[in-house]
Amino acid sequence: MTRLAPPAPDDDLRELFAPLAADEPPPSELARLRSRSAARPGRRRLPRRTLAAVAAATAAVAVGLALLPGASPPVPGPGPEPAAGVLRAAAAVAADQPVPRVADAPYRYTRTRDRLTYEVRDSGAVARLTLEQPGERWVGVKWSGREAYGQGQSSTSGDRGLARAFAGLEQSFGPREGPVAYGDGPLAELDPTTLPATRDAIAATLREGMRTNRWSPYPESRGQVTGPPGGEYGSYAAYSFVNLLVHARLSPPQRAALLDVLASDPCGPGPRHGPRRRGARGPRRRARVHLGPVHRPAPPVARLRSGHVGDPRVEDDAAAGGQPPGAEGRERPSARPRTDGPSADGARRGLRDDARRAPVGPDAGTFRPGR
Amino acid sequence: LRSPAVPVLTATGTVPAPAASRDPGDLAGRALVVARRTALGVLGDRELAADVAQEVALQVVRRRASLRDPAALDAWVHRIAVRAALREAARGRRRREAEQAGAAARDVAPEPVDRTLAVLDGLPPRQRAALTLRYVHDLPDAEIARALRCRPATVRSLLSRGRDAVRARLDEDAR
Repeated sequence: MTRLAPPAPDDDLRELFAPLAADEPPPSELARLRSRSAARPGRRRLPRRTLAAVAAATAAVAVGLALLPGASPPVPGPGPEPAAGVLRAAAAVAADQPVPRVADAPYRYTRTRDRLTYEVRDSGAVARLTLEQPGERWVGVKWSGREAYGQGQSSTSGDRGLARAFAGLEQSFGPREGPVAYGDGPLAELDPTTLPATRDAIAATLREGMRTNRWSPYPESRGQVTGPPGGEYGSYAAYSFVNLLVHARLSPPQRAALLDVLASDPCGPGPRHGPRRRGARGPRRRARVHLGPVHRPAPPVARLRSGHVGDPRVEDDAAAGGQPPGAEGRERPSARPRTDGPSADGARRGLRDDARRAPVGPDAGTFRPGR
Repeated sequence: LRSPAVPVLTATGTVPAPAASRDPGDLAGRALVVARRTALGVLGDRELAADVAQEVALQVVRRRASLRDPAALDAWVHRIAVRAALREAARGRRRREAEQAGAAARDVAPEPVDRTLAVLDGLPPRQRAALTLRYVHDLPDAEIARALRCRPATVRSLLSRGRDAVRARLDEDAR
């Protein structure tokens, strides 16, 4: 691989966008706004929204998945045999696990530790950056929900000169919390209930659907063949399979079939490892997969005093962009979906410590159970 | 560090900063400017962008009391505006109708910004949003990611694909 080239100057793009950057609203627009703002009443307080809590998994199997091209050289064959064996065993377990009703448990809770490895090579020299970041997600239908990530840990190894290419990358891995950031990924509009439940059929359906943008959030893009070129596509599909497996509400047969896909042929036909532009290789994800969650009966319904929490879409629509900066912590003690018990903090602790522990004590400043 | 093509308008920058004021008129005007540029880049249509900018500015005025840090006004407006514009972009039929009306309007009164919008035309809305936030508002990846509710790596991908598409169109125009 060649040394990383300096980024291309963007002068042409800045020149292109300069007229837009200088665009000003005409005076009539300002006058219209002032007259409307003078006439509009103050903000209507949002109604309280009911929150249902997520129940947690009691059967958790930690599966180390090295599905995606990472720093290591390509491995011939279908993949590391131990991982494949674990996945096949997990598939058998998953097929027997019940799935609760959406009304009983609208969110699927997962705790992950993302591990990303970036690599640059040049004339025999190698530099690697490894980032690890713990995260929690509460994912509902259509990738709604909340996610929270802790501080990521980074380490570099290899050639120091080449490692300068990673400058700034680790800044993207600081603590954060917000709505699930699935964005416009290839499965954005997928309804998992429409997926087949056999290994080959689910793999073919997902790969073809991703290839043709079937589940794109943009109607005009659906049916158009896009996506990463060549060898990146297989790993991209596998990455999406893992996301689906970890976060989506699949039926037990679907979950078993998807685990079987990952065990046998995660990247599908085509080259498994393709260097990305500038010599970087794709991420390697180590996922802690909670299999076949056994949910408890519906927990006591609680309402958040400040209202717009629970369903982030409600929050987005209501706040049109979320809480303004600087206002966090005033009206929203916690923006996460409730997990159990009347206290968000307590519930969070409960999930971290033991998903099956009894509900923690009330926190009258945050929630009013049963209202 | 690159220098932006135009002065970056921030509440604490060197440009006069109406954002630092809690006066509704100043806030509204500033929000209208920021939101209009963002919405125009995402939607490519003046009428729709004006509507979105109006709604965004009104929300800012109504919720100004919750803004504790005036310096964060622009970031707040970016987030609201880009999400409102993306929601508008998702309303396909209405947008197409408006695009037709906007095209007719542009036939009558072309402006310098029309070339920019023509190059952006047809790009996915999130790519347009990422490009606009970078090259119009000069936001870093992390801020764009917050506005688009995605990861910074996704922003880099959106920008890369957007740059490639825009440059391909510029090359075509140059031939």
